Amino acid sequence: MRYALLLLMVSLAAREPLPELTWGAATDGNVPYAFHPDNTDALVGFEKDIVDAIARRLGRQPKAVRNDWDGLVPGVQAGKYDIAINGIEISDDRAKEVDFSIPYFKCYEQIVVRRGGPRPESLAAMSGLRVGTLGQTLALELLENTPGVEAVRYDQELQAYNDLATGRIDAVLLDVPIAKYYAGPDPRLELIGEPIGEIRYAIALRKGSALKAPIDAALRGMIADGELRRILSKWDLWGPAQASLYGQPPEPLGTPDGYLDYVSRVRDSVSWTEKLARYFSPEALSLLAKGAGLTLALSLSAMLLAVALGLILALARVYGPTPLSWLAATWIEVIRGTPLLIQTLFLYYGLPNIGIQFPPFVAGVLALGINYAAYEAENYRSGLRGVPRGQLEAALALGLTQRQALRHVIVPQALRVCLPTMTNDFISLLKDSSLVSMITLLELTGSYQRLATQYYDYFLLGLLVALIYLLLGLPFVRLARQLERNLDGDKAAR
Amino acid sequence: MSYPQIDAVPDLRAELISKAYGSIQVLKGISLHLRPAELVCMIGSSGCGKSTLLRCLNGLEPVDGGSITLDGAPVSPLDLRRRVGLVFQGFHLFPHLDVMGNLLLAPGLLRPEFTKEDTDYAEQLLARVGVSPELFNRRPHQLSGGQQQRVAIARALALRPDAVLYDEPTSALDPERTADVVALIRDRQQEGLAQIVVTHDMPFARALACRTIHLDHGEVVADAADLLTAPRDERTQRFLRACLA
Repeated sequence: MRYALLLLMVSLAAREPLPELTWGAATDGNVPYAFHPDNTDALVGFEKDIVDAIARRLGRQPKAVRNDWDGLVPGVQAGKYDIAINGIEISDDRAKEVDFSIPYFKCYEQIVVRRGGPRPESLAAMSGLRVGTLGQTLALELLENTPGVEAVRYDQELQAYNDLATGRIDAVLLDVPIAKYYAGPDPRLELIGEPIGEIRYAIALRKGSALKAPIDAALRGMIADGELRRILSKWDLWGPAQASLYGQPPEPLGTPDGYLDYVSRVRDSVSWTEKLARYFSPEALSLLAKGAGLTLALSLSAMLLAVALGLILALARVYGPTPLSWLAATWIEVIRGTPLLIQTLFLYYGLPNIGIQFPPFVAGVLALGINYAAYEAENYRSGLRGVPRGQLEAALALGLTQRQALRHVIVPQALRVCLPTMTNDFISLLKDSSLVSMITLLELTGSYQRLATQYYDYFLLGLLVALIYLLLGLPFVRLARQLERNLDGDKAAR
Repeated sequence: MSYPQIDAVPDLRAELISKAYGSIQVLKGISLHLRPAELVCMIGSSGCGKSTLLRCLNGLEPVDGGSITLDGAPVSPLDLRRRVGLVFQGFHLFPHLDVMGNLLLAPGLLRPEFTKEDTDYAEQLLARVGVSPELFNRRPHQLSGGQQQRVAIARALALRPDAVLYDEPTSALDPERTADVVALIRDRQQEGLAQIVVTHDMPFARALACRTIHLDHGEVVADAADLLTAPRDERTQRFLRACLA
């Protein structure tokens, strides 16, 4: 009995949750740092292993927070997570923004070329060539400072190597781990040349963070007892560079299971039927379903905003006093005359500069809603103009004020006329909502990108995602037809 | 069956009102006095200003000069619109509302104490102008021209106005329906309502057999109870001859 009680106490004590260690990383693509193998929710990678080891040593529960890579450092500053770890290079500029732990990894920039293409073996030899890399990296800085090189900036590693393989660019310069994992297994590509530059990855912490000392201590402990060497060896990233950084032997410790597992997944040539089966796996389908759900929620919210705001704009334009009418007309022209993409980026990345910050979903709804409101306003305007003048006079002659006449007589009739066009616009908005994948929202197109970078296939997945868009829009196409039929029926009876 | 009396105390007076659209002077100083329960017919050729005069008397068009008073007191255009009903030539019923909706829209918005009584009153009005209950929930496009006109008249009465103005009430109707309209207007007169009827339909005007005003080029040419039977003014005589021809 006493024994059972003790057991209960022990199990209760064990159940008490550990404090969290939240860590930010851009986990879309991002092999071999921290990535989702086969689009499961599972997370693997050498940095994932490092965070797990640190958390264990600190007695904390690690919790990953997904963010865009460009937003990782701002996220640390804003306190969205305790630390950021994602191949973040120690640089003087960044050191002004955040504190860094001691480095946990050292490597170089690696030149990758297409077999049978130009073979520049050094930075200088790349003069006159188009060379791809990622933004905000040492590689980009090196390329931009090399005369004659045309640097091409990508958001996804896979896109850069795909363009290299298909001949759109002549070389790719990126960190060794990326080259090793993305280009290494691809028979069309080849790693060549001397090591360029020197990069040290470290963990970014908020300025003055109390976590810096314990994390440094944990890392030192991992170096001393060989755990870091074992982790990097598992991902086949241990070599003379790491050995020199930590004063350790250059031979790997243990088998590179992580690397071999990854390569076997990629190397397996997959037949079309197997690909299709993979797309219809629960993991892929749930990702696509979530994306489609977000697309639909975003589009519906944005359309509501567009309908309401558009009506206000149209009323101001048609019935407002001259200055207001002029203002509405100008606003409509400005919004219609500038790209939705610019508006979206401005709202999400531009406005925080003057202290206005929206969560991604709100920014997406605002951008789409405001943009489409301009189109809806023009739609209503023709609808309002289409209501016979006698209707307004009849309402006024009954003693209604202008506002009451608009609200109860003119607008309801105009809306009926506008409905089919509105429904069409909604379908158009549904497709334009893909733009918000630019502002960290993993909607349908974002899910497509993530799956495509994982499966190395933009083709079949593209067809599948296009089909989903079509299915999302179809009910609204039918609704539009039904409404048009109803209105036509009314007209016929009149 | 007894109906509630229309609580009309109308003494609608227009003094020297004038109205111009741009450079065209449509009304050139018209004075007119409409007494309680009085029925007035207004004739004249197209463009003489009849419709404009009605729109001014209802407050829909602001006047450039002169004054309009109710019971001797000046009224704002908005009050005028609430106290003087106007039945349009084209009816302009609201197509998105059913018959009851057309009648109750203005009372519902303008009378804060709107109650079941107003609904009952609207139903009584419809019964009085001869719209049967099975039509109450129809939309305007489901009604005949005559039915639409009855609804339009009932709608103008729903706010319990002091006077009602009709613009060409027979123009959209088959000639055999004219007698119905005459009866409809006479009934309102019996109830004590003051009314002005604008028309260029001479048989209809003669059937109304009431005080008649001849309007020509924005001026009152003649104003007499026996204007149609014994015209004295030479212009009126010429106009009536032209109508017969």
